[in-house]
Amino acid sequence: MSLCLKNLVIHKNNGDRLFNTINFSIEKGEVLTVMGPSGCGKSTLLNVIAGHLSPEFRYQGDITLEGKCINDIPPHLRGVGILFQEDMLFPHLCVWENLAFALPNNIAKKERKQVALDALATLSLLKIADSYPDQISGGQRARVSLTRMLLAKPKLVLLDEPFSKLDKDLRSQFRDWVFEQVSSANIPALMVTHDETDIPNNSTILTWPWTD
Amino acid sequence: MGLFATVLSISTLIIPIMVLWSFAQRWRFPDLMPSTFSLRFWSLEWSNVIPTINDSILIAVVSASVALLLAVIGHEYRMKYRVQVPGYIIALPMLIPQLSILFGLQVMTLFLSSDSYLLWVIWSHVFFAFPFVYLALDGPWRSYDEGYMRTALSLGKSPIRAWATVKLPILFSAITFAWAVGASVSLTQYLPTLMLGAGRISTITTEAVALSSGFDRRVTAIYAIWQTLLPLVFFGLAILISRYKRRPSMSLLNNSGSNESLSKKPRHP
Repeated sequence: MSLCLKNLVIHKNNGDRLFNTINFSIEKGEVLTVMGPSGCGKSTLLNVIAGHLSPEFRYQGDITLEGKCINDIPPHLRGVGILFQEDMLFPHLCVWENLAFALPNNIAKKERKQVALDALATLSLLKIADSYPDQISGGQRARVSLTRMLLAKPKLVLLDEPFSKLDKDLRSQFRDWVFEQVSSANIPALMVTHDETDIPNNSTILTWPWTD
Repeated sequence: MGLFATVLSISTLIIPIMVLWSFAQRWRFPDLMPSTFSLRFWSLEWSNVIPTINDSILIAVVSASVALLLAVIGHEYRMKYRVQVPGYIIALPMLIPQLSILFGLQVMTLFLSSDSYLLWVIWSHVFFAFPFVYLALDGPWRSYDEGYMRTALSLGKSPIRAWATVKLPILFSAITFAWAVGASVSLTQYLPTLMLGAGRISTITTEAVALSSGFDRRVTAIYAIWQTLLPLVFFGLAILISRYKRRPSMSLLNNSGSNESLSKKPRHP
């Protein structure tokens, strides 16, 4: 098993429980979708796994990634890629710089631009390499954003309603492309959404409210 | 609006009048303009003005930078732990009459090290500049999307590197302006400089205030001009730095044809 959550509970600081105890595991190349209405704490669940939990919350339980407990590992060493609703491209960096930013630290400075450009070439987006995020279309931003996350070589992909900001016709195409990329990277993926049309065909589904 | 325009125009009108005064050798009461002009006052006073300007700038730069550093740390701490010193305590140095606080500050300096005048002047300037700098950064820090930081961390960059390469550049112009605000607050401090400097530290403001009760309006005018100019220099510097750091495309946005041609292309992922 690759990602495994055991007896995970999230509390608010005042003691309220966010949802029932959660238990699941995701294998490499598999997609698990957590369905639930907005406000039920889906994003908080992803923040727990990525290590970005706000100080308003506490959690108990074990998060294991590739057999290693990652509870106490700081977010930048977890190897967990996360894609938010917004593309979160850094506005002060151009497209290739955004991609180069994500490359693992051991890649030499000289090679970084070339690797970033190669990645853009496979997207056939080489022409926007020097553009800034606010100069390119929403679809292009979404693709650059996912590519950037995958360039960091994550061991797990978290998707936080990644398609909700895209318009309808773009949405299904982008969805298929995303899951194609994720399965070819052969890593587990966890998606939270409130929209059934986001769910890919081969996904396991966990619907809120789940029982203990 | 009428009142504001009046106040603004009187304040602006003062500047050319000051310049006129500083060159006026003979200006008798009913005359509209001086009858003789002279560079004498500038050349006589210049050797006194220069060291005063240097000291003012040194104190302003150091205290603005320290206040900025403290304010950034304060905001980051608030973001991380959701605790902060209540706003009214931060605003206290702005609200309470300076003299009462200064008395306490001075008593404290006597206990610690009574003859480090420059240090205590800078400390008191930091004390009074900090609330302004902190409040100037408050809006930008609140409106900054923490998602950028989270993204940078999840891309495997250490917190310090993520801060320096993502948050700092995004908030850079706000930071330079807060720094300029801090510097100009420091430049306007009169009582703190006088009391904690024990008269040994003089800045452009203490000199200007002292001279304004004197007889020679020409010399007063020279100091008043510099008191106006120095904050202007700091704000000008802030504008220049933030312009320079801003990415080139922002100014080129209109003539880059690539933007237009891209949006016409069929949009598919």
